[in-house]
Amino acid sequence: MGKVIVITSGKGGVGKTTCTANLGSGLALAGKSVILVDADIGLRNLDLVMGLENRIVFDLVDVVEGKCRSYRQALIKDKRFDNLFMMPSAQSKDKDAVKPEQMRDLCQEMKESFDFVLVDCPAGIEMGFKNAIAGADEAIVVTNPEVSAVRDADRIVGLLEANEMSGIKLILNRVKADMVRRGQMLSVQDVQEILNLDLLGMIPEDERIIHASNRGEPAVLDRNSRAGEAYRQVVRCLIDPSTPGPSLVEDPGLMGKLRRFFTVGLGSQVAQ
Amino acid sequence: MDFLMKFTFLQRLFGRQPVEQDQSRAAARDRLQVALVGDRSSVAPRLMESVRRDLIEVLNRYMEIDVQLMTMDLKKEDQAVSLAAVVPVRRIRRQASLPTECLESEEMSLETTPSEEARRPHPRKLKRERKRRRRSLEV
Repeated sequence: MGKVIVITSGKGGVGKTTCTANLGSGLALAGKSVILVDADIGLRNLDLVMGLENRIVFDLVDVVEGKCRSYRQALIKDKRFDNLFMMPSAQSKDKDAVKPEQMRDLCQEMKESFDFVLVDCPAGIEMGFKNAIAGADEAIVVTNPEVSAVRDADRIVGLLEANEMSGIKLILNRVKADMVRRGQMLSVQDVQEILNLDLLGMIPEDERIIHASNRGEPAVLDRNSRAGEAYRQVVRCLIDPSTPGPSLVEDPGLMGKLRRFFTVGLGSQVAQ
Repeated sequence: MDFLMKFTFLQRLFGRQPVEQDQSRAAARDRLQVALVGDRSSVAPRLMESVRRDLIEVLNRYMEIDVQLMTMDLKKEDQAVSLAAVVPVRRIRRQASLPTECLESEEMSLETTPSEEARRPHPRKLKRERKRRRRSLEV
């Protein structure tokens, strides 16, 4: 029996979809069988970030409406991994097309045959959010070190707790270490203290994330990406919760880049 | 590109000092903390109701109060939030009529335990505690 994890944030644009794509690919890279569910009905994007936008035939709404024989018919197999699948959301329907009970049943069915089911939650706290969390065993709250994102994350944590969700963990995305050092940005400790959550990961700001989504190839597979390295750390924690907590993957600077250039053959092992 | 990289490297090497007025981190932290007090209390109306009930219970041990005219509010000031309660007092109870647990005697406090009601933690705290217990079981 696998685990259903919802990836949520409240505020839009903090990196839920990127996070879902990277954690899913990272888990698949480590040999786990994974389904990524895009629960953002009407505004689908996970397909684009994963580079699978041309392969969609059926979607989530078709599945719950019984238009396909089984949910498996709507799954799209990833280009890179045989053990990674995506369930696309519908683009033409609205968020009320799915009911929480239907999502709960679907997630239950999925986790019987897969190790991880990651649900990409839409922004907001309405129906789409309720659907996305309905079948989840655990939740990852993604936020940025900005006041608006942290405030919305707090609201989401309140709603998750009201729904009896256990195991709520925090990923702080787009951390700029040098701004934190200069006292211009909320630090990881600040955010963790304000939200009072267990920290699962901190992802540094990294231009390579944009390159990665431009190409539809998650940064977790990019050995030169600092954000990718941070996502690999999170994946190790997801697989084995006893793994030591996250550390910030710092900008290596010029000397670090040179050093990495000469030792690239040794240091390129990725998550097992 | 290469030149820019060298420039930031040099800046880092010489440890550029932060400018005082540039530090907005503390402002963000303080403003968030104040905003969240308001958010959490407005989102959970039963929380304030529960505080009010407990407050009345405690005050009632020492004085007769007018519950109808009592007001209670969270007030936002510039840097902090304070809980302001205005409680009209009709009369203070005589020493002899005070409940036994209110008397500050070592022996007395050993004998009497506070009522079950008063000791019960808040629901949210309970949930956290339950969560923590569950987590420690998992590890």
